[in-house]
Formats: sequence, C-alpha cells, structure tokens
Amino acid sequence: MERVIGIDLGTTNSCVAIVEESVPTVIPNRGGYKTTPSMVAITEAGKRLVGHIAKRQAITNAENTVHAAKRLIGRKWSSPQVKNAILTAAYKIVEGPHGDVRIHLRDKTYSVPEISAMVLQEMKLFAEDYLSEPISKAVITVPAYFNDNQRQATKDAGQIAGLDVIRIINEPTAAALAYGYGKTEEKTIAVFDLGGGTFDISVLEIGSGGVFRVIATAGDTFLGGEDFDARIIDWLVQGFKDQYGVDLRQDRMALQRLKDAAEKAKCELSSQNETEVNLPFIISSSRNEALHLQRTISRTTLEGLCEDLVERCIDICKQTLEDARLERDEIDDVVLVGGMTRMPKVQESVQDFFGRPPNKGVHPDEVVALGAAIQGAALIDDSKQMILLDVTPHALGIMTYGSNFEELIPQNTTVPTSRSKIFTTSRDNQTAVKILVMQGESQNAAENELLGEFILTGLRRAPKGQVEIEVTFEINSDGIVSVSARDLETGQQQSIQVTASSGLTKEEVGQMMEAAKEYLVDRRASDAFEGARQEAEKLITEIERMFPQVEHIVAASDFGRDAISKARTILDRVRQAIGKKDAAAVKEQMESLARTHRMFKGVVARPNG
Amino acid sequence: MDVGPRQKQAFFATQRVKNTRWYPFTRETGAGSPLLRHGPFQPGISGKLRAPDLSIMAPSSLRPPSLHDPPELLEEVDLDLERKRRIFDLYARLDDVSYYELLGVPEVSEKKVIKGAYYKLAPEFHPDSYFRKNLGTFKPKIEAIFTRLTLAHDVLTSRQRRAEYDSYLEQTLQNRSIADALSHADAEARAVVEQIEQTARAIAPAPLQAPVPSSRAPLSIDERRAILARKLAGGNIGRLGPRPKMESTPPPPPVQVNDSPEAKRAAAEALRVRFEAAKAEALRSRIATYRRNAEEAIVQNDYAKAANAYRVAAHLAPEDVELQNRCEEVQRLAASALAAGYLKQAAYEEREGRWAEASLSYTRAAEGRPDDAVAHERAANATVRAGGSARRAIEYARRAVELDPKNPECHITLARAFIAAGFAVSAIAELDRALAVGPLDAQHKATANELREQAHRLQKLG
Ligand SMILES: Nc1ncnc2c1ncn2[C@@H]1O[C@H](COP(=O)(O)OP(=O)(O)OP(=O)(O)O)[C@@H](O)[C@H]1O
Ligand SMILES: [Mg+2]
Repeated sequence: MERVIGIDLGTTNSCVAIVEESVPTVIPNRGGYKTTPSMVAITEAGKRLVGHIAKRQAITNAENTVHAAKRLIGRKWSSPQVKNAILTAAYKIVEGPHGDVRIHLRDKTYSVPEISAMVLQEMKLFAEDYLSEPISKAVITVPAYFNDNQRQATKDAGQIAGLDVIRIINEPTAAALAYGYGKTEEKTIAVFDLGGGTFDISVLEIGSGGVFRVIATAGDTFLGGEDFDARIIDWLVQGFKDQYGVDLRQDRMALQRLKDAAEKAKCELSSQNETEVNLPFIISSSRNEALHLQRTISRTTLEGLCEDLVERCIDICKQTLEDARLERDEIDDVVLVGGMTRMPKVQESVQDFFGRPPNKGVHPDEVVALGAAIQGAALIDDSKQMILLDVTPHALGIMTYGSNFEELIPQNTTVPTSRSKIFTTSRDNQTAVKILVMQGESQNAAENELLGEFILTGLRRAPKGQVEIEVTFEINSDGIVSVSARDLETGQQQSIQVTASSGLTKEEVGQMMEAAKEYLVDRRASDAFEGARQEAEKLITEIERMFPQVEHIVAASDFGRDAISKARTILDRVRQAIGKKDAAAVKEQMESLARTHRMFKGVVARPNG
Repeated sequence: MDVGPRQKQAFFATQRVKNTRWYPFTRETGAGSPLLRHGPFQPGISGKLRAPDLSIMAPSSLRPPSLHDPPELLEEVDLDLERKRRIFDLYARLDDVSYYELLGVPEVSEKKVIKGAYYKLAPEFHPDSYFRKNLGTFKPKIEAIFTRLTLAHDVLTSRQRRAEYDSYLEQTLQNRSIADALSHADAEARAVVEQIEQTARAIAPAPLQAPVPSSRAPLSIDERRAILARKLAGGNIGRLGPRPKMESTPPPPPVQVNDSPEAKRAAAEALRVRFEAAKAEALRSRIATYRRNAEEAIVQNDYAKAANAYRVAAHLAPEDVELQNRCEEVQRLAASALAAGYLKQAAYEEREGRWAEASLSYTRAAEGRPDDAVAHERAANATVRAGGSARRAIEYARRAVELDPKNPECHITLARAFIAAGFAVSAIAELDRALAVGPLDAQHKATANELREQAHRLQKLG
C-alpha cells in the first residue's frame, strides 16, 4: 500500500510526518530539524533556496526572499489583506492575470501556489530521503477558517509540487486527531491554534469507536505571530523616529533586520521579563553618520502592545462556544497548538477564559503534521478505525436580488450534506438567472467570497415571482460543492460543480507542474553532483597534502615517476569534471582517485619513508 | 431559450414565502428538514416496521420505492452484496423511518444513548470509510444516509429541535393511528366476536349446528346484524334464574350421556342455551366497556380511540339505533380530526417542498373534509406540483370550485390541472371564470396570465 505523508504547511514553519507501523512520526529535515521555515529565496545566481538556508540569507537578500506566502494564497489582488501585505512585505507583490496575486523575485514572476509548492516539494524530498522510497500522496492542512478558494489554491500548490493531495484537512482538527489518537475515553475538547499567520479555534467531540466530530470552528486567517511582530516593529520604528527623526521603513534591509529582531525579542520575552534589541549600523543619518538601534523591551510592554490581538482570540473563542451551544465547563480539555501559544499572556488568557489550565501534552509545532499523517493513513488503510466528521467553517449560499446573501448551508454543518431552497425570478419575462455561489457570513453578498457562478437558462417567460426555482447545494466528503437548480414547473434542471478558484487556470497549474518537475530533475542532479564533488574534493585535498612527501620517496624509481604522473592526470581530470559540474564524470574518476589516495597513504605510512 | 446579453445581466431571486395564508412556517427546506413521508411507523404502538399503507388514495407515482431492487444490487462496485443490500434498503426507507428508528434508539433515550448510536452508525455510512473506492450509484445513497443520520443526531441532541420534532412525529403518528383505527375497526370487531365465542365455548361446547358466523366468511353488515340479532334474541328467550358469571364459572361437569335420541337432543339443547347465554352476557359486558372507553377517549380528545371503540361496539350491537347514531357522529369527529392533522402535516410537507407527500396528505385531508374547498384546492395544486395524476387533480379542483365558486384561486388551480392534463380549451374557459368571479389581486392576475399563455401554447401544439 502506498504511504501518505501529512504536511503542515505553516505560515512560518512547515512540518512533515508519516504513520510508521501505527506510530505517527515527524520526519526531520536534512539539518535534523523537525520543522522547516516556510521561506523561499532566489539568489543572485538564480538559485532557489528553501527553508533554513533561505531564512539565513533573508537579511542580505530581503527583496528576493518570500516569507508568509500563506497569507496571500487564494486571495484576490483587491482584498484588504493583500493591500496590507504589500505595505509590510520586503518582496514585491504584483497583480496576476486573473485578479490574483503574484510575487516578483529577481527577473521572474511566481504565483503564490508556486511559491508554496517550493516548500511542499522540499518537504516531499525530506520524506523521500527519510523513507528511501518515492512519495506521491499527501494530506495537507490549512487553517480551519480558510475559504474554498484558499483551499483550492493550497491543493494546486500540492499538485504543482507533484503531490496527489488526497485530502485537505483543517489544522485544529488535525491537532485533535493527534491528541485523541489511541485514546479511548470520550471527551469534548477545544483546540486553540495560534500560529505565525492565523488563528483557529475548534471545538470537537472525541466519541467512542474512533469518531472525531467537529462541533464548531472559527478563526481569523489574518491573526498570528506576524501581527505580534508588527506591533514590536511599529514600536521600535516609532521610538527610533522620535529619537533620530529617521524613518527606518524606507530601508528594506533595515526593515528585514527589524523584523528578525522583533520576532527574536518576542520569543525571548516568553521566557524572560526583559530583553534588549540591539541593531548596530541600522541606517545612516541624513549627515551620513551611522545610527544604531538599541532598546530594552519588557514583557509588560509587549503585552500592552498586543493586548487587543489576544482579546480578539478570546472573543472568537466565546463566539465559537456559543455556536457549539456549550458552556465553558463542558470543555474537558483545552489543547494549545502553534508557536504563539508559548507566549505566557496567551496561555493565561486561555486559562482565564476556559477556567482550566491548558493541556501541555502535545507538541505545539508538530501535532498538526502528525494529525495530517494520521488522517492520511486512516483514509488509505481500511483497517484503521477512525473517522473524522468535520464541518463547513463558512456558510454557503447564493447572491439574490439587491446583493443580498441567501444562506443555504449554514456555518458548522457536518459534511457531506445537502440543502435546498426555493427562489423565484425578480423580473418579468426573465428567461435566465445567474446563480452566484458565495461563501461567508455577511448578509451583504459583496462582503463574501465568490466561489463560482453559473447561468440557468431556458426559464419560461413569466411575470416576476412566477417561476419557481429550487436550488440545491451539496458538499461531498471531499469538500467539493455542487449546485443544481431546477425549475419546479417544467422540471428542467441544470447543475454544476463549483470549483473554487485558486486564481490559476488548469493550464497554468499544468505548466507550473512541468516547471517544478524540471526543477526537481535539476535539483536531483545538482544534489548528486554536490555529493560527488564534496567526496572528491576531500580526497584531492588529502592527496595534495601528501604529494611532496610521496614525490620525494618514489621519485627515484621509474615506476615511481610513472605513478606520480598518473596521479597528476587523475587529479586534473577530476578537477575538470568538477569545473564542468559533470556529476557522472566526477563519479567515473572516483575509483581511480580513491586508489591513488590509498597508494599515497601506503607510501607515506612506510616506516623507512 | 434565448439568452441575450440583457438577460444575462438580469438578476433574480427574491425569496418568496408561499402559502402563508395556510400555515405561517418559515421556508427552511431540504434534506435538513425533519420528514416522515407517510408516518407509517409507530414505534410506541407496534414496535416494528410496517410497510406504509398507501392503498387509500395514492396514485402509483407516489408510491415509495420497493425495499429490494435486484437490478441495482447487481451494479459492480467495491462493496459486498450484504453491504449493498443494507445501503439500498436503508436508503429506500429513509423517508419512512423516524429519526429514532434510523438511529435504532428508543424514543425516551437520553442524549448520551443517541450520541452513542450515531457514533456507531456514522463510520459505516461516512464516505471516508470507502475512500477512493468505486461506489457507483451507491455513493450518493451513502451520502444521503449519512446526511440523514447526522440530521437525526443534530435534531435529537438539541432540546428544542427534539421537542419540535417530537410534536411533528406525534402529529403524523396521530394521523396514522386515527387512520388505522378507522380502517381496522371492522377487523377488531370480528376478532372480538371470535374471542367471545371461544370464551363461551369454554363454558359450554358449541352446538354442532349453531349458526356461528365464520370469521373467514366476508359477510355484509346486514347479514351480520341479522345473525347477531337472532343470537341475542335466542339467548334471552326462556332464560330464568341466575346468569352464569363468565369468569368465575367452573367448567361444567360432563353431561350425562343418555343413549336415547331425545335425551341426546335435550342435552344438546341445554348446551346450546348455556352457550348462547354466556355469549350474550359477554357481548353485553364488552359493549358496555367499549362505550365507556369511547366516551372517556372523547373527553381526552382521542377521537381515534373513541371512533375505534364505537365502531367495535356498533358491530357488536347492530340493533342498537342510538349506539349506531352515536357511532356515526364520533366517526365524523374522528375523520375531521384526522383531516385537520393531515392538513397540518401537508402544510409542513408543502413548506419542505415535498410535493409528493404534500399531495398525499392534502388528498387525505380532503377526504376527511368533503366540504372544505381549500383542502381540495390544495390537494389539486400539490398533486400537479408533484407530477401526480392530472385526472385526480382535476377531480379535486372541480370539487373545490363546486364548494367555493366565488374563489378565483379554485378556478386558477382547476385551470392549472387542466393544463397538466393537456386540456387547453377547458383551461382557458376556467381562467375566464376566474376573472369573472371578481377582481384578481396582482399575484393571481399574473398567475392567470401565465397559465393562459401556457394554454395558448398548448393549443398551438395540438
Ligand atoms: N517561544 C515563543 N514565544 C512566542 N512566540 C513564539 C515562540 N516560538 C515561536 N513563536 C512564534 O510562533 C509563530 C510560529 O508558529 P507556528 O510555527 O505554529 O506557525 P505556523 O504553523 O507556521 O503558522 P500558521 O499555523 O498560522 O500557518 C511565529 O510567529 C513565532 O514567532
Ligand atoms: Mg500552524
């Protein structure tokens, strides 16, 4: 049976896991770390960097380093969140051909799913290295509050990365699966997930027989660690301006350094009461003298700066419990997920609200990926007794006359599900109606997300209000929405599958997939070359070190001179192969090189040498 | 069919609440609505599933799917036959079972029990349990079952929704039990007679040539009346002395058998007299009990029970004119109560957009209220909507017009039924009548015009 990996594609960090002999395990990256920064950079030489190496060079290459791409995925160019990101991001965000968002790095423009695909591809490679087998199937997590367009864009990213995304699941739900895995007692739990970019809260019931039922879920896809960092940056920038009259925001490099420093300070304040932000030579003054930023920030100051952010989380919790029709004391356990829940103020507020100390038993950075792997295994393996009953995080409906949103499937409905409602024409002799499928909670359709549209034609001519159309919405277990409309009088029926729009066309996704495949071939080749090069250079260095001594010992004999010249030839050939980046040629010479190395060592080791 | 750019921009859909003059429900519809198609099942009464009784007036198109459909079970999918059958059967019955039955829990179950049952069933019918399997036409069935299970769980675990559902359920059950009572009283009466005779036989063995009506023989009511009258009269003649008490009387000692034919005949005659006496006494006591029960039931507004009891009593005492009259009166009360119940049920179904069921319930209501124009009009309308028999729709609409000729809606509905049947000329005539009976409001005017156009198109066609 083919194995399925679970990937937590985070705003800040990503993590990959698999279930091995019933044990969910996190797969470490090549550096041995269990999480990998969700960062992508293009170097001056046009080389792609992903993860830790991308993060390390971010300050010197700020404009070509993408972080927090997840905040942009599946969003429209015109959305306020994108406007906000344009203001703060060091990299260039441009408008795509379908009103979508693209990112410009060096001389190329990338779609957001492409950038995410780079991270996913990296995670896939880690898994393949670790498991020594090709992997093609994955379960990828998204914030519970993601809408269908964002989900579809994430799916596209997986496809571009060469993955068959067998299911998209919600991050807090995944965390609950990992939490409840192997446990038998029935419980009602709340999962509080505050990560780098998003906040999610889910209330679930873990029932007998491996049933996980989500009761309610809510969140904010633009509330996370990034926003806490931004508060610190604002505070530092303002202080600097007050002190020197210089605006640090004008300098991209300074801004990137500030960002790093702010995040570092924030994390330090989780374990200490005070920390110093020290950024020497951050900028030059108008008189060209170097200016340094040096400030002490206390935990209390940070808490003051971010008070409203934490409050927003708690407000959403309150609403979610109401939606779930549960009292606080009916929650048996509160599970904290996401790096930001390490902040003491966050933990305190959660404890105050739920009236109980949160559970510390799960690893906040790893549970989500573990849960994704568990779901993958359960889907593929019939013997795994586990079923996840999840809900639609947003209401689904259609736009009606006067730009009103008419809800068909309410928020928090268990899927799969279907509902219908009867509508009627709004104009005399109207023979066609346009059905706009929307998602969201607002009564005003314009404020909701448009998922798709279709036109029901061939209605009989009649005065307005006479033609009755029954519209049926259906969400299947894969989260795919289909809508059908039926003229009640004539029985005429039309239906469509609503494919949420990721901002990319099918062809584009196909092309991007091909490009990613090519990259993978190059990448594999360069990985192979790199390995061979390192090995060869190690031997060359040692051989060269021994050369004078060996020459001295064997120069007397013809045989010796011959051997020396042969050794020179081999070294030259290897150097040439390395110069041409020819992995195969390097490998070809490896055996001769090793033989020379052995011979030299033998000569040097001779006692009379 | 032409969709020019103008129409493409045309916009639609103001939601309209229909038929508010009937029952002011909000229109929340779909699979998410509690629904019992025929309410045939009475967990509290019989405790086992019965096939819905549609014999009364359902056109064939309204019959539910049969429980087994071998051709569909032959479909090649990744499911074993057992599983296929289970899915198929449950799917076919989905509208016929209550939420309690669906989950397999008693109606008094606590929330915990309901949840437990749901958690046990959900994995079996959740599509994820068949991930990437070829399920063919079973996939939508599985999803429909799952959706219904979830609905059952959601409704029954919410206090308020459960209360609402319980009262709907009660309404359908009540309708059902009244209907049952009205149709099964004859059988019960026969059973009672049979039982009485058995008891009497225990007291005195039945005479060989006694005119006992066979419970198998379908006798007319007059025949039965005559027989009973004969029996009762016979039982009273020449009877003196204390009447034997049925329950307390010990079995009679064996009759001394004398060999002479006269002695034999006398012995047989004595037996017959005792038999008839015991039977008459039993009948009297039963009739009294049924009457008492019936009157008590009326006090409690349980017309079904009352009607049932009176029907039995009336069968047992066909000569009692006063009893017969009272019985007929109570029958009418019960029929009217049933019709009111059906009206409620129908309005609920209409609101849910379940036209087939609404049609059935409205037609039943109309049967129970033969003088109710509105019930007839609605029955006709729902039947057309359900794609049911146009002829039947015309019958109902005609009756509605007869009952309330001044109501334009009745004429319009009749016209609609005519169109459904393809009678353009009659439809146009009827629409003229609608106009003639008085000024139409905007809504009716629009409908009438639309129907007229349809009729004209029909005329052109053929
Ligand atoms: N000790 C700490 N104290 C405070 N914040 C921390 C700490 N450690 C990590 N963080 C913050 O947690 C955030 C990252 O959390 P996490 O890795 O869970 O996010 P993510 O999964 O990438 O994002 P998301 O789930 O929102 O897509 C960052 O903003 C980081 O600064
Ligand atoms: Mg996360």
